[in-house]
Amino acid sequence: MIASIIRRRIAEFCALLRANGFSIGMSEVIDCVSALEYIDVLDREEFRQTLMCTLAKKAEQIPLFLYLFESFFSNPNKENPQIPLLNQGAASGGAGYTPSTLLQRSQISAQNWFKAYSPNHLESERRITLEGVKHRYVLRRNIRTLERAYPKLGGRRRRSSVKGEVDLRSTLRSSLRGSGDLRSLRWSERKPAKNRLLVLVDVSGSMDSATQSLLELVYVASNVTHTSSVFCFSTTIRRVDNLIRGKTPQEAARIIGSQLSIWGSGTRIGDSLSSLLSEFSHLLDPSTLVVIISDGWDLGDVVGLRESISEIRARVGGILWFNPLADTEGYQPLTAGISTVLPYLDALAGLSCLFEPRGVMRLLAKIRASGGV
Amino acid sequence: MCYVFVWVLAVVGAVFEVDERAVSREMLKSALNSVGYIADDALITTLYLSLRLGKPLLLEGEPGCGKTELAKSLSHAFNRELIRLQCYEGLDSSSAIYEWDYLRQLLKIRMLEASGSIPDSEIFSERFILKRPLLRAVTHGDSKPPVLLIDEVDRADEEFEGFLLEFLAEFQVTIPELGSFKAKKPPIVVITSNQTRELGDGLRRRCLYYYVSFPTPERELEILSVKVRGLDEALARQIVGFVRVLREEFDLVKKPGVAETIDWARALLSLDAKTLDPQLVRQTLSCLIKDSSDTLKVDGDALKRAVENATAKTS
Repeated sequence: MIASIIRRRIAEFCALLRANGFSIGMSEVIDCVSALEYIDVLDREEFRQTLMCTLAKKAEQIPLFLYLFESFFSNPNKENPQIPLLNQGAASGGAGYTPSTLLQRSQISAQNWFKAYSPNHLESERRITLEGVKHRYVLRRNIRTLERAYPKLGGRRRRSSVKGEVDLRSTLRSSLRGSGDLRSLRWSERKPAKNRLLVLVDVSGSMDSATQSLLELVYVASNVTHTSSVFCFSTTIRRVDNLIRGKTPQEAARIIGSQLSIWGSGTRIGDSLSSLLSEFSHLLDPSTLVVIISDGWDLGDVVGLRESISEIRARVGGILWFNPLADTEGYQPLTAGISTVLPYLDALAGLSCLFEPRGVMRLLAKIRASGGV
Repeated sequence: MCYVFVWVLAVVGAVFEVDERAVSREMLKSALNSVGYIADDALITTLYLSLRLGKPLLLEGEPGCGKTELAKSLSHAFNRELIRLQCYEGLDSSSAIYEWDYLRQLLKIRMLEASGSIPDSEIFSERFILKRPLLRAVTHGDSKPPVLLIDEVDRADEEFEGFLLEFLAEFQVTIPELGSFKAKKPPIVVITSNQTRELGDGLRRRCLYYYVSFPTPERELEILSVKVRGLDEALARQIVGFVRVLREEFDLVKKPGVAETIDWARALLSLDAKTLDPQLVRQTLSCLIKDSSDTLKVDGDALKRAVENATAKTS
């Protein structure tokens, strides 16, 4: 039987993990306490590994878990150890946070937990904010929504329905279940296929203020689904999903830092889209949903931009444009780049849509209500 | 001689016939060692807890680091049947649980009709079921529960992942015509993922989690000595050193895992290599490098420097 003091410490530690974005329910706590029955709790390595395998369920959580473990269990004599509560918003329930507050927090936070990529200072240390754990979860949900909920073509798989085509196999089975006579027909229809996402992220200098969000977006879009393709563009375009898929955030940041030299330079959207059309045309088909994140400040040829975007629109299932400037009140799409592409878009929305809980669901509802889809 | 033989049998029997849920961590480690799986202490602790708590073990990590091999070794070490469900996109419950054997059912109906009988519920009996891995795992009649390996679960669709939640919670499968089948003894479940997509929180919560990373050089050397018999120790050190240089100093799309190291060591052994040199490494690099862009990165002077680094470190 585990001593009550250990159970209490475990409960406190779980609360600390929760406050820092770990998703820990009662089942995890019960597993953890049950597991401690089978190990030597005085063996620190064994104790840490037991807590880690029951409480940290993602590779990206492990560095943070180890940090918190060392901080928490290195102060055994203190009643209230001074563990930095890294995510005050989450600790207080996490309600009401917005992308702007997240970005604000990421700028004012001083702790330097992880080494990561800074687009402007490649050799410097940049913190991946701990708010990002919550951030990333919401972003992941929104990207999955885009993949599934946006109107799409029928896939090759079928599902039973009340209309469509006669399903011979199911009809035969249902008739065999009775006397063997054909009593009723069963129907099936094509199951909607998931969209294949093609995410284009503008990493030019004008997008610097949203760098942290863009890094998160590039990482999550590359990893949340294995069919997505993620590109970064400024004056030219680079594919990044194949570089960072399956990597931890730290590894991904290092790879982007060392291999993506286009971050922070000028913008030629038309040229970048033209390169996309010539080099990656096989990724553009009616099942593709193109998601572009850019402020639309283009220094390239507007005619070329119009030709490229119209050709892409003709090939793909839809184009959504997320503009960080559209989050500000009174925004009007008047810049040359945005006004050129606007007729070809299914929707133009603020970047915050992707970072707010149910932001994409609300956007899709608006599109449907306006008859856009 | 005879006494020694009996003693060995007794020891082997004591290890292999023991209830795997009651083994100590040391016994678990030595049982895995005996079948050639060298695991570090953290993995042994996680596996031990998984067995004691009866919870599935979710292994994530780089390809070729021994995730699948762990399940195979576990089944060998405890003399259990290994039931493998290889996941792929489009995998559905009929491929994972059961299918009716329609041809046999039709033949049976014809036979019954020919004899003047009418088809009855016998048509939908267990005889006419084609058992797929999950059903096999829960209807395993043996007193020793099998090892169920759900391999590369990240390749399966999210719908299938959702279905697995129910299966892993109850170890029960329901066939509408026959009722529910529940495992008398839950199988030992090992789930692997290569992180090609993010798994749902529900699945993670039901499992104990372990991230399988690249082994330390000492551990990798130990693995080579077990897996590649007859390999010179100096050459083994150079191999491990070179692979480490590749992992740490080159930005490779696909870093070589332990499986690649073993393949390469076997290739060098078959070529009677005594020491690494740039030409030999270039000729056999296909054992380690599995991506065309990586081939360009590890070439010319970079390759020469890497070999020199590896040999210098080991000497």
